[in-house]
Amino acid sequence: MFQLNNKRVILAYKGPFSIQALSIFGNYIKTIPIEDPGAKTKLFKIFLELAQNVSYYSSEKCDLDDNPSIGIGTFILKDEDDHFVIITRNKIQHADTHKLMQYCNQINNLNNTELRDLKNHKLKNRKEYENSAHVGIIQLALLSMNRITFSFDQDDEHFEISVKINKRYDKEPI
Amino acid sequence: MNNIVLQPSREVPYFPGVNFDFEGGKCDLYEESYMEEPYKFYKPILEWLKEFFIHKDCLEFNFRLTYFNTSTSKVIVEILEILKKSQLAGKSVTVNWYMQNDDPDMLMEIHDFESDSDIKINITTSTE
Repeated sequence: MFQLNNKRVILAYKGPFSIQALSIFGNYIKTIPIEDPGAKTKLFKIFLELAQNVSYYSSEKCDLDDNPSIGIGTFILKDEDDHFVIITRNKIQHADTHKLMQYCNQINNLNNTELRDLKNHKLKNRKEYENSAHVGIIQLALLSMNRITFSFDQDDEHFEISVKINKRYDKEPI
Repeated sequence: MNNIVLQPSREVPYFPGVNFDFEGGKCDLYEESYMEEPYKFYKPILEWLKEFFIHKDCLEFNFRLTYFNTSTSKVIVEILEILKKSQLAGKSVTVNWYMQNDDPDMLMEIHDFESDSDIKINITTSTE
Protein backbone atom coordinates (compact mmCIF):
# COMPACT_ATOMS: atom_id res chain seq x y z
CA MET A 1 0.00 0.00 0.00
CA PHE A 2 2.78 2.42 0.90
CA GLN A 3 4.65 2.50 -2.38
CA LEU A 4 6.17 5.94 -2.51
CA ASN A 5 7.47 5.52 -6.06
CA ASN A 6 3.89 5.22 -7.26
CA LYS A 7 3.24 8.12 -9.66
CA ARG A 8 -0.16 8.70 -8.13
CA VAL A 9 1.30 9.62 -4.72
CA ILE A 10 1.22 13.41 -4.44
CA LEU A 11 2.04 13.78 -0.76
CA ALA A 12 3.60 11.40 1.76
CA TYR A 13 4.95 11.76 5.28
CA LYS A 14 6.38 9.61 8.02
CA GLY A 15 7.05 10.95 11.50
CA PRO A 16 5.37 12.73 14.40
CA PHE A 17 1.88 14.01 13.60
CA SER A 18 2.33 17.33 15.35
CA ILE A 19 -0.26 20.04 14.83
CA GLN A 20 2.42 22.23 13.23
CA ALA A 21 3.18 19.58 10.60
CA LEU A 22 -0.50 18.88 10.00
CA SER A 23 -1.34 22.54 9.43
CA ILE A 24 1.43 22.79 6.81
CA PHE A 25 0.15 19.71 4.96
CA GLY A 26 -3.43 20.92 5.37
CA ASN A 27 -2.55 24.27 3.80
CA TYR A 28 -0.86 22.46 0.92
CA ILE A 29 -3.94 20.27 0.40
CA LYS A 30 -6.07 23.43 0.14
CA THR A 31 -4.01 24.45 -2.90
CA ILE A 32 -4.67 21.23 -4.87
CA PRO A 33 -6.83 22.23 -7.84
CA ILE A 34 -10.21 20.49 -7.64
CA GLU A 35 -13.13 21.73 -9.69
CA ASP A 36 -15.84 20.85 -7.18
CA PRO A 37 -15.44 23.15 -4.12
CA GLY A 38 -17.39 20.64 -2.01
CA ALA A 39 -14.87 17.88 -2.80
CA LYS A 40 -11.98 20.26 -2.06
CA THR A 41 -13.39 21.03 1.39
CA LYS A 42 -13.98 17.33 2.06
CA LEU A 43 -10.37 16.47 1.14
CA PHE A 44 -9.03 18.98 3.67
CA LYS A 45 -11.44 17.90 6.43
CA ILE A 46 -10.82 14.18 5.90
CA PHE A 47 -7.06 14.69 5.90
CA LEU A 48 -7.18 16.48 9.25
CA GLU A 49 -9.52 13.96 10.90
CA LEU A 50 -7.37 11.04 9.73
CA ALA A 51 -4.14 12.76 10.72
CA GLN A 52 -5.39 13.77 14.16
CA ASN A 53 -6.52 10.20 14.66
CA VAL A 54 -2.86 9.16 14.31
CA SER A 55 -1.77 12.01 16.54
CA TYR A 56 -4.15 10.98 19.34
CA TYR A 57 -4.20 7.20 19.07
CA SER A 58 -0.89 5.92 17.69
CA SER A 59 0.73 3.84 20.40
CA GLU A 60 4.12 5.01 19.15
CA LYS A 61 4.69 8.47 20.65
CA CYS A 62 7.36 11.10 20.80
CA ASP A 63 7.83 14.32 22.76
CA LEU A 64 8.44 17.52 20.85
CA ASP A 65 9.28 20.90 22.47
CA ASP A 66 5.81 22.16 23.36
CA ASN A 67 3.92 19.01 22.44
CA PRO A 68 4.21 15.98 24.67
CA SER A 69 2.97 12.57 23.47
CA ILE A 70 2.58 13.19 19.77
CA GLY A 71 1.55 10.10 17.82
CA ILE A 72 3.92 8.81 15.14
CA GLY A 73 2.68 7.36 11.89
CA THR A 74 2.61 7.60 8.11
CA PHE A 75 0.22 9.03 5.58
CA ILE A 76 0.01 9.14 1.82
CA LEU A 77 -2.31 11.08 -0.45
CA LYS A 78 -2.92 9.55 -3.86
CA ASP A 79 -4.55 11.15 -6.87
CA GLU A 80 -6.52 8.50 -8.72
CA ASP A 81 -8.41 9.44 -11.89
CA ASP A 82 -11.79 10.31 -10.46
CA HIS A 83 -10.99 10.35 -6.75
CA PHE A 84 -8.32 10.85 -4.12
CA VAL A 85 -7.29 8.33 -1.49
CA ILE A 86 -5.77 9.18 1.88
CA ILE A 87 -4.16 6.34 3.80
CA THR A 88 -2.79 6.54 7.33
CA ARG A 89 -0.84 3.88 9.13
CA ASN A 90 0.15 3.76 12.78
CA LYS A 91 1.02 1.31 15.52
CA ILE A 92 -1.75 0.30 17.92
CA GLN A 93 -1.88 -1.88 21.02
CA HIS A 94 -2.63 -5.45 20.03
CA ALA A 95 -5.36 -5.58 22.70
CA ASP A 96 -7.27 -2.74 20.95
CA THR A 97 -7.32 -4.42 17.54
CA HIS A 98 -10.51 -6.46 17.80
CA LYS A 99 -12.53 -3.56 19.23
CA LEU A 100 -11.27 -1.13 16.59
CA MET A 101 -11.94 -3.50 13.67
CA GLN A 102 -15.43 -4.18 15.02
CA TYR A 103 -16.07 -0.43 15.36
CA CYS A 104 -14.96 0.24 11.76
CA ASN A 105 -17.20 -2.59 10.53
CA GLN A 106 -20.12 -1.14 12.46
CA ILE A 107 -19.55 2.31 10.90
CA ASN A 108 -19.36 0.82 7.39
CA ASN A 109 -22.78 -0.75 7.93
CA LEU A 110 -24.56 2.45 8.99
CA ASN A 111 -26.43 4.82 6.69
CA ASN A 112 -26.13 8.63 6.85
CA THR A 113 -28.91 9.07 9.43
CA GLU A 114 -27.55 6.31 11.66
CA LEU A 115 -24.03 7.77 11.45
CA ARG A 116 -25.32 11.21 12.44
CA ASP A 117 -27.31 9.76 15.33
CA LEU A 118 -24.29 7.83 16.61
CA LYS A 119 -22.03 10.86 16.30
CA ASN A 120 -24.48 13.15 18.09
CA HIS A 121 -25.04 10.57 20.83
CA LYS A 122 -21.28 10.36 21.42
CA LEU A 123 -20.90 14.16 21.43
CA LYS A 124 -23.71 14.55 23.94
CA ASN A 125 -22.33 11.82 26.19
CA ARG A 126 -18.77 13.07 26.00
CA LYS A 127 -16.30 12.86 28.85
CA GLU A 128 -15.57 16.29 30.25
CA TYR A 129 -12.17 17.82 29.46
CA GLU A 130 -11.10 14.91 27.24
CA ASN A 131 -9.49 16.24 24.08
CA SER A 132 -10.64 13.67 21.55
CA ALA A 133 -14.34 13.42 20.77
CA HIS A 134 -14.01 9.75 19.65
CA VAL A 135 -16.13 10.43 16.58
CA GLY A 136 -13.34 10.86 14.01
CA ILE A 137 -14.04 7.61 12.12
CA ILE A 138 -17.77 8.34 12.02
CA GLN A 139 -16.95 11.79 10.62
CA LEU A 140 -14.73 10.18 7.92
CA ALA A 141 -17.65 8.02 6.78
CA LEU A 142 -20.05 10.98 6.79
CA LEU A 143 -17.69 13.20 4.82
CA SER A 144 -16.40 10.71 2.26
CA MET A 145 -19.79 9.01 1.69
CA ASN A 146 -17.76 5.91 0.77
CA ARG A 147 -16.90 2.76 2.66
CA ILE A 148 -13.78 2.97 4.76
CA THR A 149 -11.07 0.39 4.10
CA PHE A 150 -9.05 -0.78 7.07
CA SER A 151 -6.65 -3.56 8.02
CA PHE A 152 -4.32 -4.66 10.78
CA ASP A 153 -0.86 -5.99 10.11
CA GLN A 154 -0.16 -8.69 12.72
CA ASP A 155 3.58 -8.66 12.04
CA ASP A 156 4.32 -5.07 12.97
CA GLU A 157 1.06 -4.28 14.83
CA HIS A 158 0.17 -1.40 12.52
CA PHE A 159 -3.38 -0.32 11.77
CA GLU A 160 -4.06 1.08 8.32
CA ILE A 161 -7.10 3.07 7.31
CA SER A 162 -7.90 4.27 3.82
CA VAL A 163 -10.55 6.77 2.78
CA LYS A 164 -11.71 7.53 -0.75
CA ILE A 165 -12.69 11.11 -1.60
CA ASN A 166 -14.56 11.60 -4.87
CA LYS A 167 -13.54 14.50 -7.08
CA ARG A 168 -17.19 15.37 -7.55
CA TYR A 169 -20.01 15.09 -5.06
CA ASP A 170 -23.38 15.47 -6.69
CA LYS A 171 -25.32 14.04 -3.81
CA GLU A 172 -26.11 16.42 -0.96
CA PRO A 173 -25.63 14.80 2.47
CA ILE A 174 -28.85 16.30 3.89
CA MET B 1 -15.33 41.26 33.31
CA ASN B 2 -12.66 41.57 30.65
CA ASN B 3 -13.19 41.10 26.95
CA ILE B 4 -11.46 38.19 25.20
CA VAL B 5 -9.80 39.17 21.94
CA LEU B 6 -7.56 36.72 20.09
CA GLN B 7 -6.58 37.34 16.49
CA PRO B 8 -6.12 34.32 14.21
CA SER B 9 -2.60 33.95 12.91
CA ARG B 10 -0.96 32.30 9.89
CA GLU B 11 1.64 30.73 12.18
CA VAL B 12 -1.00 28.94 14.27
CA PRO B 13 -3.99 28.56 11.92
CA TYR B 14 -5.51 25.86 14.14
CA PHE B 15 -6.55 28.45 16.75
CA PRO B 16 -9.69 30.41 15.86
CA GLY B 17 -10.18 34.14 16.18
CA VAL B 18 -12.10 35.11 19.31
CA ASN B 19 -13.86 38.38 20.02
CA PHE B 20 -15.95 38.32 23.19
CA ASP B 21 -17.26 41.78 24.00
CA PHE B 22 -18.68 42.02 27.52
CA GLU B 23 -20.26 45.50 27.29
CA GLY B 24 -21.67 44.89 23.80
CA GLY B 25 -22.99 41.42 24.75
CA LYS B 26 -21.55 39.92 21.61
CA CYS B 27 -19.32 36.87 21.00
CA ASP B 28 -17.63 36.00 17.73
CA LEU B 29 -15.71 32.79 17.01
CA TYR B 30 -14.14 32.73 13.56
CA GLU B 31 -11.69 31.11 11.07
CA GLU B 32 -10.46 27.55 11.79
CA SER B 33 -10.40 25.47 14.97
CA TYR B 34 -8.48 22.19 15.06
CA MET B 35 -5.98 22.45 17.89
CA GLU B 36 -4.76 19.27 19.66
CA GLU B 37 -5.97 20.16 23.11
CA PRO B 38 -9.25 22.01 22.66
CA TYR B 39 -10.06 22.25 26.36
CA LYS B 40 -6.81 24.07 27.08
CA PHE B 41 -7.89 26.72 24.57
CA TYR B 42 -11.65 26.77 25.20
CA LYS B 43 -11.77 26.45 29.03
CA PRO B 44 -11.42 30.21 29.65
CA ILE B 45 -14.02 30.82 26.92
CA LEU B 46 -16.53 28.45 28.53
CA GLU B 47 -15.90 30.06 31.94
CA TRP B 48 -16.29 33.57 30.46
CA LEU B 49 -19.68 32.59 29.05
CA LYS B 50 -20.94 31.18 32.35
CA GLU B 51 -19.80 34.31 34.20
CA PHE B 52 -21.28 36.63 31.57
CA PHE B 53 -24.82 35.56 32.44
CA ILE B 54 -24.27 36.37 36.12
CA HIS B 55 -23.87 40.03 35.10
CA LYS B 56 -25.85 40.42 31.88
CA ASP B 57 -29.16 39.32 30.42
CA CYS B 58 -28.67 39.54 26.67
CA LEU B 59 -26.09 37.86 24.40
CA GLU B 60 -25.54 37.44 20.66
CA PHE B 61 -23.25 34.52 19.76
CA ASN B 62 -21.88 34.45 16.21
CA PHE B 63 -20.15 31.36 14.86
CA ARG B 64 -18.07 32.18 11.78
CA LEU B 65 -15.87 29.07 11.80
CA THR B 66 -14.78 28.00 8.35
CA TYR B 67 -13.50 24.65 9.63
CA PHE B 68 -13.66 22.85 12.96
CA ASN B 69 -12.53 19.30 13.79
CA THR B 70 -14.59 16.78 15.76
CA SER B 71 -12.75 17.65 18.99
CA THR B 72 -13.97 21.23 18.56
CA SER B 73 -17.49 19.91 17.83
CA LYS B 74 -17.50 18.60 21.38
CA VAL B 75 -16.78 22.10 22.70
CA ILE B 76 -19.42 23.65 20.42
CA VAL B 77 -21.98 21.27 21.95
CA GLU B 78 -20.88 22.50 25.37
CA ILE B 79 -21.15 26.18 24.34
CA LEU B 80 -24.68 25.57 23.04
CA GLU B 81 -25.61 23.78 26.27
CA ILE B 82 -24.50 26.83 28.30
CA LEU B 83 -26.49 29.12 25.99
CA LYS B 84 -29.60 26.92 26.21
CA LYS B 85 -29.39 26.72 29.99
CA SER B 86 -29.17 30.51 30.18
CA GLN B 87 -32.11 30.87 27.83
CA LEU B 88 -34.19 28.55 30.04
CA ALA B 89 -33.19 30.72 33.02
CA GLY B 90 -34.79 33.69 31.28
CA LYS B 91 -31.81 35.26 29.48
CA SER B 92 -32.10 36.53 25.92
CA VAL B 93 -29.76 34.55 23.65
CA THR B 94 -29.41 34.78 19.87
CA VAL B 95 -27.21 32.27 18.02
CA ASN B 96 -26.12 33.04 14.47
CA TRP B 97 -23.98 30.85 12.20
CA TYR B 98 -22.31 32.34 9.12
CA MET B 99 -20.98 29.84 6.58
CA GLN B 100 -19.99 29.29 2.95
CA ASN B 101 -22.80 27.92 0.78
CA ASP B 102 -20.54 25.24 -0.78
CA ASP B 103 -20.22 23.24 2.43
CA PRO B 104 -23.26 20.94 2.84
CA ASP B 105 -21.39 18.91 5.48
CA MET B 106 -21.12 21.94 7.73
CA LEU B 107 -24.79 22.73 7.16
CA MET B 108 -25.66 19.18 8.24
CA GLU B 109 -23.56 19.59 11.40
CA ILE B 110 -25.24 22.91 12.26
CA HIS B 111 -28.68 21.31 11.88
CA ASP B 112 -27.57 18.51 14.21
CA PHE B 113 -26.21 21.02 16.75
CA GLU B 114 -29.52 22.85 16.60
CA SER B 115 -31.71 19.79 17.07
CA ASP B 116 -29.53 18.25 19.80
CA SER B 117 -29.14 21.44 21.84
CA ASP B 118 -32.73 22.53 21.20
CA ILE B 119 -31.59 26.10 20.59
CA LYS B 120 -32.53 28.07 17.47
CA ILE B 121 -29.56 28.74 15.18
CA ASN B 122 -29.99 31.40 12.49
CA ILE B 123 -27.94 30.26 9.51
CA THR B 124 -26.62 32.73 6.94
CA THR B 125 -24.82 31.33 3.89
CA SER B 126 -22.62 33.29 1.52
CA THR B 127 -20.41 32.70 -1.50
CA GLU B 128 -17.60 34.95 -0.21
